[in-house]
Amino acid sequence: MSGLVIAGLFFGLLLFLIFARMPIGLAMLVCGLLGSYTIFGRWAPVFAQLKHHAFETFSSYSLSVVPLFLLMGAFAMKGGLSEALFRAAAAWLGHRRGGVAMAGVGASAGFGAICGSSLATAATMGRVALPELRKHGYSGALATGSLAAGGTLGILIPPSIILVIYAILTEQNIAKLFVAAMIPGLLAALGYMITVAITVRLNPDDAMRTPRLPLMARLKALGEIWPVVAIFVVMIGGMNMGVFTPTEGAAFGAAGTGLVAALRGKLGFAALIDCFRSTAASTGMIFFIILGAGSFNSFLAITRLPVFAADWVGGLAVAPVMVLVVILLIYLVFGCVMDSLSMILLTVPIFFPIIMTLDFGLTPEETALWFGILVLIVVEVGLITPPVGMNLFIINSMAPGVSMMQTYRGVIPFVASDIIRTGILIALPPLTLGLVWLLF
Amino acid sequence: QDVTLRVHHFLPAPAPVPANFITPWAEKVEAESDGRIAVEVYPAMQLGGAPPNLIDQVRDGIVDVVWTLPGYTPGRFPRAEIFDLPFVAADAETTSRAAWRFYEEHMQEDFADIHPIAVHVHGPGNFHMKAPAVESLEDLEGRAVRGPTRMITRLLETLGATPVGMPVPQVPESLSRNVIDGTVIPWEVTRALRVAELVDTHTEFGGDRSFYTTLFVFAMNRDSYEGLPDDLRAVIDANSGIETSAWVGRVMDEGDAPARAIAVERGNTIATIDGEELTRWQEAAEPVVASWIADMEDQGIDAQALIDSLATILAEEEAR
Amino acid sequence: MNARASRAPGPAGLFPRAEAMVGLWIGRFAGALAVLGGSVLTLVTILAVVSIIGRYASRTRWPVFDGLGPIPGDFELVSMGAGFAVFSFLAWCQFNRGHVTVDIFVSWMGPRARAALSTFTNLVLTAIVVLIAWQHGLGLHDKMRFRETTTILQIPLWWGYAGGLVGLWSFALVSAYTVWRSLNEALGAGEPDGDGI
Ligand code: NA
Ligand code: NA
Repeated sequence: MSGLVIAGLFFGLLLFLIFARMPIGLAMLVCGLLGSYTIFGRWAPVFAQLKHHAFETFSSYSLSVVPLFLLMGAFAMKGGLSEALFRAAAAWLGHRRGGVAMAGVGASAGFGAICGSSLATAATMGRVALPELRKHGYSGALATGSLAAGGTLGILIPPSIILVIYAILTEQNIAKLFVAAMIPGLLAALGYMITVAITVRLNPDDAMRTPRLPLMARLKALGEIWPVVAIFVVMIGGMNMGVFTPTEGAAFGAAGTGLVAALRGKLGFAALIDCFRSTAASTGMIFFIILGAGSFNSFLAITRLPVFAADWVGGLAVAPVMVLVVILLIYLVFGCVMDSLSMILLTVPIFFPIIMTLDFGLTPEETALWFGILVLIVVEVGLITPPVGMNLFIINSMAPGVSMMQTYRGVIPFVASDIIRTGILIALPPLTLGLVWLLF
Repeated sequence: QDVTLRVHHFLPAPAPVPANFITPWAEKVEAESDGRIAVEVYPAMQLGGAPPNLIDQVRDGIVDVVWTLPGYTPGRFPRAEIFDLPFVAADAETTSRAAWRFYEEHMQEDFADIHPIAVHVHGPGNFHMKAPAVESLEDLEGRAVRGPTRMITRLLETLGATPVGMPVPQVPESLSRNVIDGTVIPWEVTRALRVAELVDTHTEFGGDRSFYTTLFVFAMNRDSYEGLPDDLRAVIDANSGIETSAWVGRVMDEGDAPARAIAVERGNTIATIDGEELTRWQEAAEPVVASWIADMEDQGIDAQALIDSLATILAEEEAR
Repeated sequence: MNARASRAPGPAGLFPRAEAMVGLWIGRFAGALAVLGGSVLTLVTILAVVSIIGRYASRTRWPVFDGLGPIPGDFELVSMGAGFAVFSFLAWCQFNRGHVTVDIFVSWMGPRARAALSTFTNLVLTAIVVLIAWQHGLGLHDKMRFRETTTILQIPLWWGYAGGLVGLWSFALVSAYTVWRSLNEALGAGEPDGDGI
């Protein structure tokens, strides 16, 4: 059997197991080990791979940024930073039509600036903003749809765990990727707000208005978010100015948010234990997938599939942009049924070398940064595309009385806004790369 | 073909050793075996793991051949650390010949569970630092300098620097965000990592001995080697040993000049430690040799005898 | 929505009372391990911050900061500490049904059928985790035999492996318990919704 056939068979088995509800990390481990056995014909080398695999993966300096960012998100949630953000956003936006939903999006963007995870952002902002939205008469569809979409800003606005993983996989500079994500992330927030505005104009029953607050009250609310601003400035500034590594930046952010929470008296013993447990649950989930992906990717490498795939695409007689669009469409389709992190781990090692052989009129590094941001956006769309979207599940589970169908309906306009934005970013690479050119 | 050999290593394919040694070696083996041996090269850790895992991967038979540094696994190959000692090595080609003979005489036991095809060193190690340049011992005081192995970080510390241990692929990013003030590496490596763009100064050493070097090994899994039919094993044997080691050493030496030219072209400062200052450095570095000898004695290894033996072998190779 | 609420009165399955009791203790154990890992991660955070401040201070070249510098071997301590935390987190994640699954193609199944499916995947998981823990133990043995250490601080690598081994065998233990738990759910009222994340 050729390597290509074996790769195809086990890719099929992988999808089958995943769709049969096997945990994704486990399915990748099973297929990686069985696939390697098929190639080696003996168990000894397959088992031997496991002798150092776990230690090397878990004790990798570059990956230690992941638990640190997750710990930071847990501290920020406990420290009431999310509530302060929502109050500030509501003070400035609440009186507009659809203003409370816009405030939810704005607060998600602010939280996204210090939190690297979409799930944590959705869960945190959902807890704060959902009751407010329901109280102000927003429909279940708009309330859950806008917050699920807002949650993706946790990853779209740097820092971002997905970008960290992409940087590790493709050996790119994390600081540059974070800078490249800045404008697309702000465009995402703006796009979601415009989507809210259009939706409430089309369905005026979806929302009521709140009275406009006096300027002093608004400034006071704004003053309360200074810890978020300070932590973000030091963390992102420090990483970009060359004061510390991304791992150290994450450690600094975790220490800062922890300190703010402690000073506010919100980090007692029970709260600390809560933070550790939620960090443990999400870290365990992510690293188990990374472990499985490592095994599956080694298997794919010995089948030489990436080499064959790159050759095949290299032989296609279509414009590079068409190849890019096809790859992004594959991500969109897979995103309907798969989790974003496992998609990145599974596909970037295959697609990235292909993209790097194409000529977009950019340097290799620019191409890598631009592709990274586009991939980031399409996998994040996956979090809110029905039927499988983690953000949809999280927000819906927090909204009693709102059916999953209503949430599906509510999120569609936001998915549309994502697709329009992706088109704009494909057409105009400087939107992604401009800040990088300016700052580096 | 009869046999497929999978070769795994940690550098990108275009780097000098993969391009000018590993690929030509693979093609040579394929040709001389009339295509009965197929060699697949996997660069840049494509088969998974981190560079320190390579030695276990070849020992455990996950791959058939690896190119790696014994120094990536501190403590495991104590005798190999002799090449990390300051002011011991000459140019890479001559020292690599000596390294093969040293391996045959003293290190067979250390490498008993793998089958070395070549052992070699890199060219003279130099400093690559942000301004100011290292022109005297005092210029090193308190500066964060990255070193590749246990003995070399100890050397940096003894000379007054703050040593940072990290694998070579992390160097460019750490330089660009000022986590380190500089690094020691041979010229050849600076090219692929674009180090000349990230630092302002370079410091070379006069005299006929390098500041430091380190050992590399290109080795095969023992079962894969012993399982070959006699005629194919003869092909591997014909492409192993002192001449093959010298070949990699030569590739290392030849990689230095074009990389140095890039630094010159950029207008970077290139300083040289020579004359009396060099004597000061050699004296300042002596405690490192003494501490290594003491370390080895704890393990029952007569290190002074090893140092003397290497000096003799190297002198013979230089006289050839 | 909540299957737990609609669960039939009275436990069912294989020694259900013993399972509940074991589950209580297994959960406490996994939770304690997670808190231990979280504490180590917090120490890592503090260590990294102290090291950044030390490095930054030493660069200012003010006499006050003489003698300050980054913590030696900070990279090694951060990776080993964070690694220990990750190993310690796996058991808690499994106990909480925290691993990511794609439910869409099995959503037509009832809660009992889904519990039966989980019994199978948890069994496979247990086998694989035992395999990993076993091989990791062999890796530990290698690191001990070859006396490998970290580069700067020369910490024996097997210490890190030993910490990881505790996490891995705990993960295996919890996985084995979850086989029992999902089996009883399959024989009883089925799998509860909405756990985890
Ligand atoms: Na973020
Ligand atoms: Na989706």
